[in-house]
Amino acid sequence: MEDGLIIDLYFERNERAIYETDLKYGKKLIGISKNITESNSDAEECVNDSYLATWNQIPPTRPSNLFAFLCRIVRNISYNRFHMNTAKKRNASVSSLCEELNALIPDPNAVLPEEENLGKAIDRFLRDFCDKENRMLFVRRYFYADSLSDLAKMTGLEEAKLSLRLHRIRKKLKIFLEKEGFTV
Amino acid sequence: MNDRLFKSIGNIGDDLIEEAEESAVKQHFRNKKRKKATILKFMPLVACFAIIFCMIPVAFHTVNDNYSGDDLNGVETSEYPGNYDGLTLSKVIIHQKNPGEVDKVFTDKRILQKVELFIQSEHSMKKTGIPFRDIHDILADDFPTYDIPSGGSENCDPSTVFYVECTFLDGKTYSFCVSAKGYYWEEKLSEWMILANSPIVSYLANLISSSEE
Repeated sequence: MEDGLIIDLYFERNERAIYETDLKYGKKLIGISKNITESNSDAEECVNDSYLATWNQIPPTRPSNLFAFLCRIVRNISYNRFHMNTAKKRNASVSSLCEELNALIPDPNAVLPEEENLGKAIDRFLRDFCDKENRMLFVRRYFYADSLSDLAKMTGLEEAKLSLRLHRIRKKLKIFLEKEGFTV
Repeated sequence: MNDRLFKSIGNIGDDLIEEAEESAVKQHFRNKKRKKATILKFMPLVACFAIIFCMIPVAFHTVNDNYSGDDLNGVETSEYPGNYDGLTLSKVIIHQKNPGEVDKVFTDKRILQKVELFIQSEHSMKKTGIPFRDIHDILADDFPTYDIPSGGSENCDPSTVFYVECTFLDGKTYSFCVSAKGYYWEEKLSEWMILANSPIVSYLANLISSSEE
């Protein structure tokens, strides 16, 4: 079903909207959640929670891109779940993701501008300073939280090469963020 | 851990999220791989065409060119009428400077071979693209005993100058002038020039001198 029709179902408060959403995007959303939580059961719960959140947000929100909208919700919910689960025991994969990103800002305790501003700056960087391929790799790794091995399977590139490319992108991003005044 | 940085990546544009959707990424890299494979696949074919394309003018030149002394100025090695692997000269006639006065006709293979080497040598020198004047200066340093004239033809003894007419097996001819001292008359520059491999020039000069006797 077309995204517009699914959104219409949400506006009509028709529960079939959730069924259609799950049919179309369920597997992809579980994949993202699983990348973050590293647990099948947690991923399923997060996706269900994200459907509820979507149900609550539409209406009044009418997302221009339903898939991106759902991805953001499931990503946030999964990340919160990850935090809850790892209050005592840290999740290795997401920890490593955050450590990689941590290197971009010298002082992790520094007061950062609002997430939205930082997000917009990263968006600008990806559009203006990265080619399509590097942009895809960065978003796959840090938005979709894909592991390097998954990314290697997806692209056909070697893990070592991917790692090097991502390292270079992060290095460029760090310089960009410093110029934009995001460092202390 | 920088939670906010990780979270803030969630605020990138919808189009960027969609662009990096799994199937789109797979498709992009698959296309790239296919494009690369296609280029590699057609490389030998392109190389073959390039070789054939380069060979066509060579073939036409070999068939159509008339090898006069003037033609040799600036021509490529491939246009050279002689075969480097074997003798292609059938006859060498040596005249005085005036082409009408025949001094001697050579058909002896040993002499023909030497003359052919001489022509090849001159041709190789031209292939390097070094102007005759520079060659002249270089050789003047390397072979001071040749006593190369500095000013031009006025320093050469006209009695030691000969006109050499070579006839190839296919009937085409190539002509040039040479002096007994190892210089030859460059028609286009109207100057006396020394040739690249002086020992052969020397041989030819001796050959001419002996033919004079």
